[in-house]
Amino acid sequence: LVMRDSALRLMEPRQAMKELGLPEHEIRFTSTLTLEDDGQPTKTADKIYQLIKRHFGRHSIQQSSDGNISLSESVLVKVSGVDDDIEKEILVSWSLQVSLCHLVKLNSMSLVAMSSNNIGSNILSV
Amino acid sequence: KRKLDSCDTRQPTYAWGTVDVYEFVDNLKKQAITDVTVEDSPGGGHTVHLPSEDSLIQIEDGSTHIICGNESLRVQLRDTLLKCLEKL
Repeated sequence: LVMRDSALRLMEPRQAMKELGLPEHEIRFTSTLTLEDDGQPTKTADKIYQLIKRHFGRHSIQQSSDGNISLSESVLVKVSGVDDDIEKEILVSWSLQVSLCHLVKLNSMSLVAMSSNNIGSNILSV
Repeated sequence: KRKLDSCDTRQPTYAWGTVDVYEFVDNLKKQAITDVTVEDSPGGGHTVHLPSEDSLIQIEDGSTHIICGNESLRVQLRDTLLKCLEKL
């Protein structure tokens, strides 16, 4: 709620900061997890994409041609590794404004997935 | 079992201003996080390194990137950083 020139207006926080001349300080976090999954990293990324789609279907989810997954334009999931190495690195990056709800879910998914080669099989036991 | 729809409904925080890297490091030291080094970044910012925790905090004028795999430390770093900024 912003009061300016005796007028009250309801604004998005970013818009209010812009109008008031407050320079936003963006805060991002990155955490990397290791996952055991056979095959190409793009295949692992596809499995994670399907998993995210199943649980976050009402949010905007995109997968780029290199396999990177973005969720609600704030969360980025990137898989790296080599085909003949079962261990894949899962980089998860998110902004401060992503609610804890997203964060817990994403981390839990990755952590649960770590204990299983079949990504997603245990997801509902989080 | 934790239900997947058990969301934290707190409002997201928006921060503004710039971080004084030395104030940030002092606040970390007050919390017994003492294994800290600070390096100047080429772009005029700073990189705070926590070698024993394998964590990095890249602080620029308008942004900070916390790279940390330890969730409780990450929350501590976030809260310490937010103390050095104005919030909305």
